[in-house]
Amino acid sequence: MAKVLVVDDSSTVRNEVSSFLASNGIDVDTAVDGVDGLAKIQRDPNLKLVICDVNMPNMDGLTMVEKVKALGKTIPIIMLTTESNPSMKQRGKDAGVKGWIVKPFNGSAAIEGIKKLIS
Amino acid sequence: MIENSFPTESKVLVYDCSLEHENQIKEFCDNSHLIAVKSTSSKILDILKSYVDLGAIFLSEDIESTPGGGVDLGREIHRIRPELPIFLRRCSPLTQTFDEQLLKSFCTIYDIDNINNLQEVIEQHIFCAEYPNALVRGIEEITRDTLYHFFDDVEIEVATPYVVKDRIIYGELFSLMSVESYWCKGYMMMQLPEDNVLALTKTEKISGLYTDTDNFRVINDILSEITNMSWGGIKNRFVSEEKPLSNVTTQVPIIVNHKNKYISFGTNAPQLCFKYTLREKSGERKSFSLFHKFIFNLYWQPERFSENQPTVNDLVNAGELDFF
Repeated sequence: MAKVLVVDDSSTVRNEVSSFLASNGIDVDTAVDGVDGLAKIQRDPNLKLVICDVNMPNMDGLTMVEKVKALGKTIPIIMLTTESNPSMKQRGKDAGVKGWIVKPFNGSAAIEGIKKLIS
Repeated sequence: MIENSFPTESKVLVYDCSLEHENQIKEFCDNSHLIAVKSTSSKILDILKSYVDLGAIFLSEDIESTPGGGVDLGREIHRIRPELPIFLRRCSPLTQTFDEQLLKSFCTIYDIDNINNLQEVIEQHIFCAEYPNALVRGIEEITRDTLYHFFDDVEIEVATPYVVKDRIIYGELFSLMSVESYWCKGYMMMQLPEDNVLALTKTEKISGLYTDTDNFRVINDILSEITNMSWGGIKNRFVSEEKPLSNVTTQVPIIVNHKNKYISFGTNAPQLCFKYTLREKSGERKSFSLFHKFIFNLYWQPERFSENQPTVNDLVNAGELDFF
């Protein structure tokens, strides 16, 4: 079963996204910030996709993405965030982010794209 | 004066002994965007406790059967709620003077025949800040949509935005977000009670979290994300990354007194307030209110305000996956 990592400092968001993915037959793990997320990405070879917030304490999402890229990891990452300003999106693109979702999460609208990335 | 400013209102408590003058005061309030809440009880101090979002108080010098009693009452009100301007209607002859110490409790003393002279005082003490119409409408729309994302089967009533002088904390929890842009610097605050919040929250958001009925942290997290999404939406619409932030480096301490449910941002300036009341559509009709306040205590330049122009990227709806 494909596994997705959800990285967000909000337990409400982690729960919302995880519940939705699980109901679509997708295995899920969660992380509470960029530090936690980076550690899990390095540790778990079964991860197929990361869904990551931007604004988090300890390490923000874009910094985490840049570090993942620096490690040579090619796991696809999509951002799930309140942010939509062009320069932030460009920074994400430059770091290899595959897609961007502006909160609130709409599972029905995003699921096909998510499934495409993990297949 | 900015172009297209929102006509904010403010709630005022009116305790006046004279039925004869009541209509005049009400008419003045209506014309001045003041929502008059009438108090008829001598237990006004108890009544005050039930109001946490007032802009001012109208009091008469004579109250019920006590000539001059309004002065002592006003002094007591000022002692417990010094943030609230008190307008005292004079009942005694003009030749009678008031004790100077007592006068400090009142914003101004007025004569009913010259009530319109209060207009300038009200502008100075209550409506001293202007808010762009687009900003006020945008905040209301963005936050209402955010609340609909979290709460199930509810109707949301939004009161006309108003300004508040009170510094009372409503409910059991509040969030604070530092906000800054080219045209403002200050804080956004959300306050709500614990009761009924979980009962109205969408199940999929809390399933797996809500295993312990005493776990207040679940509600903390919901409020945190509501705050995050509300400011995120406001920032996306009204804060341009092409314009520099305020450059204001001033910071002032925020004081919270839990025992007295009081929070101060170090300013007498009024707070822009939105009140959302969420009510279950069916069943037990549970409800709660959320107060959403903006305190631009560090920098406020509404003439610099502008709305971001939509870009091609904005054609992707919130929640949808925008592939790069």
